[in-house]
Amino acid sequence: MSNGNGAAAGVEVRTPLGNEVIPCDMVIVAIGQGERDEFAIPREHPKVFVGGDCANGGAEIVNAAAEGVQAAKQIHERLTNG
Amino acid sequence: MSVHDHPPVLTDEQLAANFADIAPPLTNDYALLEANKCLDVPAFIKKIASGNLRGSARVILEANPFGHSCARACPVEVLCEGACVLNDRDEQPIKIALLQRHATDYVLEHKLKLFEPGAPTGRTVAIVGAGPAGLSCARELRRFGHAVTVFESKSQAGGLNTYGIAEYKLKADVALAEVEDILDLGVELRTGVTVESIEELLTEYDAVFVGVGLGSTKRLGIPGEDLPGVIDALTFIEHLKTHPYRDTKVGQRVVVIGAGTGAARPTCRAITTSTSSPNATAVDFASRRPRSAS
Repeated sequence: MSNGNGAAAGVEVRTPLGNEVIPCDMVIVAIGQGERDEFAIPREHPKVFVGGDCANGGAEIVNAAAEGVQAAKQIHERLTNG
Repeated sequence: MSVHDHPPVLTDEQLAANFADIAPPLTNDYALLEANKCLDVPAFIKKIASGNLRGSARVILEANPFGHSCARACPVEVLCEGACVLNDRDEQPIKIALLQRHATDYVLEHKLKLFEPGAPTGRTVAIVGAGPAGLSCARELRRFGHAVTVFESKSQAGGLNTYGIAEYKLKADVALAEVEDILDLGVELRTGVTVESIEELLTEYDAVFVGVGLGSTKRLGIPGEDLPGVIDALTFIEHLKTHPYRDTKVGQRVVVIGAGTGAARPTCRAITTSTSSPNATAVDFASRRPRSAS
């Protein structure tokens, strides 16, 4: 909900005891990232490899790094043995 | 009709599928991926014990090109330290993350070069996105000797390590030093370049790796979310990480929607420790999940 100046002035939330307004002058939305839609990734193309958050939906650095390393091995294999 | 002569609702196949193994076995590729994710923790700790910090760091960074940032930012309490056998004896787990940081910091501090590029193969690979996935791929490809060009839309490399991880876990300068170590293997980095077509890259390069991460914060889908005073956590954290602390503006009373450890909690902590507001700032989580101690 907004104040007289059109800026955020509160957040209405549903609670077990009914709706409640938490007054505030700033709201930070931290509900996770959505998928990218800037371009289509041709995931099935034999020369295209995908890794990290855009492949696993969002995980830890260690997952992204491992997927990058693994992809490099597959790319090397493809470039070396066709 | 009694329960006993009820006609079968499910086919035999459906019934079999319903009782199938809940965790299907790993494919070969996936097993390899999982196995390679694993650091030889005892090996790197033993090397620290014998004073061989370089050797210890080598074990870590061989398995994980982002061993520096993982030591700082990974949720070790649910990963390695959570799995430490000492937990079963009601003892504190080994401080694996701090040991890993100790060894990898030594490498950055002394600017040790642990890896070298391979002999040139004449093959070229384009990498889209200079985050941990893309740069890990880049490092290994350089060690194989392939030429690598990394395209990054932002002005600096590192992805969320540079722009999105809570300041108190990983500072941008550490993230960038880690990146530099990989670029030093002869990776061509083009920042401020937005790739618009993967197909176009395929005409120029022998292969393309896409590690573009996820997009912006999801929409709430409620009235008022575009009002002034409403921003998303990633934008907030990025601003905080790329400006002097006092330059990030904070309200007098802030509501954070969400309660995750990735963005919501760091955001709350940033606000409560921020010095830009002259008065105390209150923060509320508005989350569907129950509040828990942070």
